[in-house]
Amino acid sequence: MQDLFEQFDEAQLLAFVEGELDPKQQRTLLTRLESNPQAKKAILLMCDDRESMRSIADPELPCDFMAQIEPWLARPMLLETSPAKPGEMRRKQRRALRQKQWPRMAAAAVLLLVLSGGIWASSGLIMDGLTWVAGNTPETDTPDSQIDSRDRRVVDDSTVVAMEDQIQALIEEGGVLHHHGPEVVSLDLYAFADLNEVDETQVIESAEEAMAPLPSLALFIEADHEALVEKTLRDLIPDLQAQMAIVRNYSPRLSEPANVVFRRPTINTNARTTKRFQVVPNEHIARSDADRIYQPMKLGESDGDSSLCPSRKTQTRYADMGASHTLSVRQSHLNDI
Amino acid sequence: MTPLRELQLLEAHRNGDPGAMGELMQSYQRRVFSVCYRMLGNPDEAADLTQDSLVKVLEGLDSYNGRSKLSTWVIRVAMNCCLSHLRREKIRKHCSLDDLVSTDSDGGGGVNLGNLLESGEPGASEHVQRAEVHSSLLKALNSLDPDSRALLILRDLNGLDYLQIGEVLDVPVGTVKSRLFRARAALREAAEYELGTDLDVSESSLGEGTGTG
Repeated sequence: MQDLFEQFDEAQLLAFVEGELDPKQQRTLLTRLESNPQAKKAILLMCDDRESMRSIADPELPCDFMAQIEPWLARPMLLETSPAKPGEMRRKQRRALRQKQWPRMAAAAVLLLVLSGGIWASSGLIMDGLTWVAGNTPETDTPDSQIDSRDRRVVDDSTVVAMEDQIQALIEEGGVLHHHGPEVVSLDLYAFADLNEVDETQVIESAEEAMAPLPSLALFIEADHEALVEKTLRDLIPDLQAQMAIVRNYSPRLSEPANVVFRRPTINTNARTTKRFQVVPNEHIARSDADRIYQPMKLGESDGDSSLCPSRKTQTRYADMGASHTLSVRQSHLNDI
Repeated sequence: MTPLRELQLLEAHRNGDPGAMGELMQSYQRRVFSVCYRMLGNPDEAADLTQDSLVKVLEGLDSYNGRSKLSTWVIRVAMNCCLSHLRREKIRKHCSLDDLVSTDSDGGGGVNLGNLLESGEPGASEHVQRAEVHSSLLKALNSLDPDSRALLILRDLNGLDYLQIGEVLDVPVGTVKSRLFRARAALREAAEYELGTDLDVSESSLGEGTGTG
């Protein structure tokens, strides 16, 4: 439709639609539009659209939000120790409801990891990630009792909320820190596509400063900027205490978002788990299968179809269920090793 | 609520008045929900983000620098929450007719199209036609990219001027204007797809210049 208006001054057309022209100016423009009846019709319809939109009433409130935010209103000076945000509480409740509806196997399953082989391999990211895993290889057969107790400490919501102050600048730039529960923290690194290299480094440093002290179970990081993803993998992940880090790459170069999951081997006692991190294909999971079943990861197997990515619908569900799955990884899969 | 009253309540809050913030939030909740609902098209998600946004407003009041109206700043917080959420989701939501048209018929929100179609009451056809137009436009709105959707929501559904929109979206006024025109064109295109046929156009609807900018 934009082609229709090429011969006209867009600013004038907008002013016309917005009702900012006086009657004489309107008549002048309408006369000009006579040369292109289609454009004229479209502009007049856009005027109608504007009037119709302006007559749409506000939606009714579904609930009293004041009741939901009452803890913040009642104790404004104690925001650092406030409870989980109401919106997140609702998400947790819905998540809990969905968990009950999942098959039993899925409840004890591990996330399937996929790599978009071409792009990751060519950029050396696979090696970076695996180097990190290998570099942290502990002594084999380490008894549970010798595992650093920090690895098992639960991060409560107040700790996470307090940490948010440390990355206020990051949040103001568009990055968002969420806690999906007591043990999972996610960092949204969207909207950083226009950063230069110096700013990218600053973003990573800010994120590291905030997230490094968190002995959380898992970090879930999303980014849509290729260079930032690379920096995240290379500079941020290795310095964190998290048991697991999941980086979802939304780079436009990929046909679909790709997840890369890094799991610290220090909490594993099985010698096999010290091997390089593997991608496991699962014949039960098809690309178009929205009700994907996550199977326990079988370590030691060779890479499979690295072009397989979860569907977008599954990714959406995965984002909602990220906390529950990572908790499952820790509580069931790891304990079984 | 007038801008002056907003600032008075903010000042009262900063001076330790426990009820001041409640009155402010009470006045904002409907608007914040409206922004979230129109951006997301899903009432549950909109409710979640409304709560998150209101908490962010409470937590971020210290950073409010007074350069824009407080209400504009509040909308900015809500819009940033929505855009951030949509970027993460990266899906286009297509609302069902029932999602877009409220079932409350108390005159406050919307009308149930289905009921109207069945009512057969006098004047129902006019309501039906208007409801159809609204519904199609909202569907079309929901099919647009988030940035275009945000512009139209701020301009048409919230009545912000170009400067205020620029403050919310953190873009210059010139950018607001050029993007707004393209958003309107995109809405028109999407609406034609939804409606299937062109609406009747009345040149008399133009009237005198009635700028809102």
